[in-house]
Amino acid sequence: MSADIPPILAVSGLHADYHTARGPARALVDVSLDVTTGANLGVIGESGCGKSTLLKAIIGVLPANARVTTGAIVFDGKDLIAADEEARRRVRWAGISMITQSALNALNPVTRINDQIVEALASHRPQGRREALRRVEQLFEMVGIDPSRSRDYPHQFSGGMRQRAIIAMALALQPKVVLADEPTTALDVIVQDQIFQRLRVLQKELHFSLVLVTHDLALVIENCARVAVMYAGMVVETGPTRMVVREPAHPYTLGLKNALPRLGVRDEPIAIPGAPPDLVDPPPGCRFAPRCPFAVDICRSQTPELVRVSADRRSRCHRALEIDALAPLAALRDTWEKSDAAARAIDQVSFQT
Amino acid sequence: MGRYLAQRAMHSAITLAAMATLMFFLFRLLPGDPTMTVISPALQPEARAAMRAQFGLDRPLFEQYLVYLRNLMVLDFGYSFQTSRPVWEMIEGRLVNTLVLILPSMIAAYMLGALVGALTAWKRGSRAEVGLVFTATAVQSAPLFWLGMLAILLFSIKLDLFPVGHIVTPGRFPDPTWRMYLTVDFLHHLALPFLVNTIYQLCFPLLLMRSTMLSTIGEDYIELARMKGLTEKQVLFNHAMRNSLLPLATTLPMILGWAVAGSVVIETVFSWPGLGLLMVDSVGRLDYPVVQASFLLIAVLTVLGTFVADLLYGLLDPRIVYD
Amino acid sequence: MLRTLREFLLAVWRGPFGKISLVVVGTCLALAIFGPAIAPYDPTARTYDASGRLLRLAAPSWNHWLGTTLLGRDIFSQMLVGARPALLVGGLTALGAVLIGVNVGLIAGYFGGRVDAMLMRVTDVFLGLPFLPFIIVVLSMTGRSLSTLVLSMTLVMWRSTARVVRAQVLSLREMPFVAAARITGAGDMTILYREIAPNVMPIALVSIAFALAWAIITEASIGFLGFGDPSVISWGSIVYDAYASQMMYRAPWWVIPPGVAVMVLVSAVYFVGRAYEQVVNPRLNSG
Repeated sequence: MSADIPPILAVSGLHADYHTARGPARALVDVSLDVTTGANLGVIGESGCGKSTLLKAIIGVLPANARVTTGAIVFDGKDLIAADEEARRRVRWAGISMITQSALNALNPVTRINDQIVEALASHRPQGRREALRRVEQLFEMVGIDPSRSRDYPHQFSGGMRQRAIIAMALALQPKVVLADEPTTALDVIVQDQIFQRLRVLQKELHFSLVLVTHDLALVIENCARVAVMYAGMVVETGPTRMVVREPAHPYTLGLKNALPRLGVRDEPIAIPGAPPDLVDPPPGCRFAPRCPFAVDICRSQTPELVRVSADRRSRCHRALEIDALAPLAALRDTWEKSDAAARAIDQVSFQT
Repeated sequence: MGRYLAQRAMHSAITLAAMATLMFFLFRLLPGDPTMTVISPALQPEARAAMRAQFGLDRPLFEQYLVYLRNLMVLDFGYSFQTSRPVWEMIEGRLVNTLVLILPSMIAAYMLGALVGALTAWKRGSRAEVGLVFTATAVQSAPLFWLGMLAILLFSIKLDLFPVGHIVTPGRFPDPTWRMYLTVDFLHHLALPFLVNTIYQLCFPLLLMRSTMLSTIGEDYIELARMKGLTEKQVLFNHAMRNSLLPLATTLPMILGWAVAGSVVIETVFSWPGLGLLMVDSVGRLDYPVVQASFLLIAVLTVLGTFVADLLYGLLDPRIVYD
Repeated sequence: MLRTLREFLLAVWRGPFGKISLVVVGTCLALAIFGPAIAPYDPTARTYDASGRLLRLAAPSWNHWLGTTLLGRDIFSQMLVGARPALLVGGLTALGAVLIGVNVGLIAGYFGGRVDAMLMRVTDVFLGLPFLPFIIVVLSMTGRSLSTLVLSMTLVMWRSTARVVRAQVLSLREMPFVAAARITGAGDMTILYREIAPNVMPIALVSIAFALAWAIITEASIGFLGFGDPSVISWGSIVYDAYASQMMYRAPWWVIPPGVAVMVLVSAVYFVGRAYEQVVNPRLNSG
């Protein structure tokens, strides 16, 4: 958007590996993203595409078998990758917090909810317990839970209340960036809607930037000004959400858009055939090539760069510039379902009979 | 909580009653004269007959059983064959001696075991961890009496650091009072059996804590605790360890049972004049009233321990349903 | 059944300290069978030196690898012979205890309700029973023999297996395959022993290993306390002899080997049990 405001969070050239018995799994490859103040970023992709790994890398809690190999994560002008552990710890939650995926398992079952929030407050800003408890009640009110229930244990809360409690916890220290990892997948649609409405209100008050990771394109359209599409550990397309959804610049995004149910259209959504690649031994060239109906020879030999396709948009596709011609084809069911060699073979057999 | 407490107390009472009954039949339904285990065989026939009437042993078995239960309630265990003194008199002091050795030792073993177990899990894969797990398994696999003898061999005989056994230097307190437990001499005698028992008993909590911790560490709330910017120490103690203590607490009654039972062994090796040694000695002397009483008292300790552990668990885990 | 056994051995082989543990257990099994045959001396016979003097408390030497006792008996031979009671008592007790425990657990878990409540109360009573003192009392009342020892140990050891199996059955009985069996008209007993029981086999095997470990230690402890069968030489009774003669601290070679033998064998059994437990109980997989 406005290029003169420096982003609050800038990820550039981030690579991360998981150690596996078969060798390193390249879970993040050359990931670059900018989060500007006041503009939410949606990160979208199938499960296993590296979205959650990206968030954990940003907040700095990758599991023991994973590590960042190269790249930079610049938050508020400081590179977190280069920072020492104590400096990183101080940024966690106070600068960048997170609304986790499963509120049921994320809350410690044997600790009172207010204590779990107080703990976060106290480890960053030394304060009296009474003062901290007052703050918790204030936060509960903010997210719409009766403050008198702050002494409850997690199992006494409903799923929606737990998610709200997690949001209260995430906002406790007024962080500048809030990461949200599939925050509402476990909840029903109505509760999901309430929670996002609440989040939007809170955002107007508190001015944090939201990074929303999800596989639900509709949520991103509703909540995020910008979107990054991830596939197999790579960012394949970025840009303003509306433009990316209207005119995708990458075949994978075209496929995702097909999977979105359209109003008034009775057709079954078109799914992308095949499965994401093995990250230990990825296919040569573009990682999406094996599933891409438009793949040509270069796609199978050379990894495409993330190139600028218009002022504000980038795409990691060798055929990004021809995408206007490919888009109409991508809307057809046959393009996807018959691109597969096996599918084609079956087709021929049925044709002969 | 009140109902839960009452329920657990009920269960404990049932267990104790069942055990008392078991003992009654075990000691009376043996071949030969059924009164042999109640009245000293050394007594003259006339005296035996008198006692038989006194204990109601000439009445039907069921009545005898009722008399037996009534006597237990008032701690009347009859008279020792050996000393002719009331059994309870002999046992009282022994009970204290067992408790001063076993109770602090178990508390130390549990706390230390939990702490070291948690740390080994935290430092998974390190050489220290592998070594500790191996050592703990080996110690746990060794017979306790043998560890005690090795300790005596090394620390008492070779290095001459501790006395070979007994609770105080023999003859020093001809008439023991509670002051005995405050002397340096007592502590000097306590040190070695305490150490051996503690080291032996801490292996189980250590290994259990380690394996529980390893699965706790993978939980989402541990990750969230890290994300919150807690220090590693806070994550370890306030979350990982606290939650892993729950499964450990459920084993407390079992461990207490082992500990009290193990007192038989450790007291024998160290000639520690507690309940366990009294029981073993009395079995050797065929002093059945004392055997029975000390066994029942040991059982009471075990059941009491279970009860306390249940309460503790109720306090630790808010999710427990009191029904 | 055979498949379970194969899986069992394979899991143990790959587990921590697996190979060495299997070798230790195998060696002890061989000793339990052939021990008396390969013992260089009669373990109860007095031995004399070249000049015809009784070899009292002789230190380990070429002729007597582990030295001799106060009565001049060869300790190495006693050790070889002592493997049999350890494994016999341990094995029979473990089998008996797990057999009872599995059945109690199956019935309590499957039928639930009053049957469950009653069986669990009984289990609680046995859980409150102090292990070693109970065995001592029983042995002293009924005579010191290996069979009494096995019986009394079995009587207290089934309790933990019953609890573990019951917990497993509680979740198994909700499984679709149980419902399927019921629809086809299978009776309770058929479902319990044909459908559910095979699924608790792995847990039963783990229980056997842990019970075996406990039983071996207990057998040695009973021997040490002097309540063992007086006609049987066991690892525990060797230490008891040393202890009773009050010579143990003068002859470490008399006391150390039996303890080492128990420790090594029981450790091996533990590692075997734990390795298999990790396969059976995925929650422990990380361990």
